[in-house]
Amino acid sequence: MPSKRCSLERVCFQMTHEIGARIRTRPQRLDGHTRLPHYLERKPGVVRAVLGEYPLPDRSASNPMHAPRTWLYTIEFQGRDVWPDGEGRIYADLFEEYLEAER
Amino acid sequence: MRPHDIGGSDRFGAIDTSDDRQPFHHEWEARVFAINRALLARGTYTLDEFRDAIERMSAQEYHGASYYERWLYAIETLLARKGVFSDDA
Repeated sequence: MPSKRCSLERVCFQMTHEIGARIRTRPQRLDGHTRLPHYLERKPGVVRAVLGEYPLPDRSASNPMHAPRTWLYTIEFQGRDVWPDGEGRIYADLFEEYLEAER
Repeated sequence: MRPHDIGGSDRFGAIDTSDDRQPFHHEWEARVFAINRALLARGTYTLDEFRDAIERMSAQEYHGASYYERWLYAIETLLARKGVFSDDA
């Protein structure tokens, strides 16, 4: 892995969400690159896994040399929370910036 | 919204689930695949820049292009932007 590609400034030294935590997704910058799909915006979910820290794609897409590393989580959504006739469960790997704690 | 972000939409008809088990249907597609891998490996651009380049296609361009046509579009766009070759190459 070439080391010259990214300067790795850390946004947070400790992950915000723990396994089992309830979260809600929030929409990202309008029309910019993101890994949060439209159909998962503003949806409630539960943290099922912590996958590590990686450069945030939303920033890396336009500034690969200075993208902050941020925590990546596997989030579990109930199908019925995503679509009116939804069933089962949906799993998506989402970055910390896309999530907020759900009371 | 970006043209690729159609998950959950019902405007595009049923998904084609047929599978002929061929990774490429034309030799040029395999070449595009290899070129992209090589450019990513040498750090000419990142995967995030590559995806972003595809997502910046207009809706008409995006949906009118095949999967590897979009890859080729992104590669050409990024190589021009990075100055690897000029716009009239």
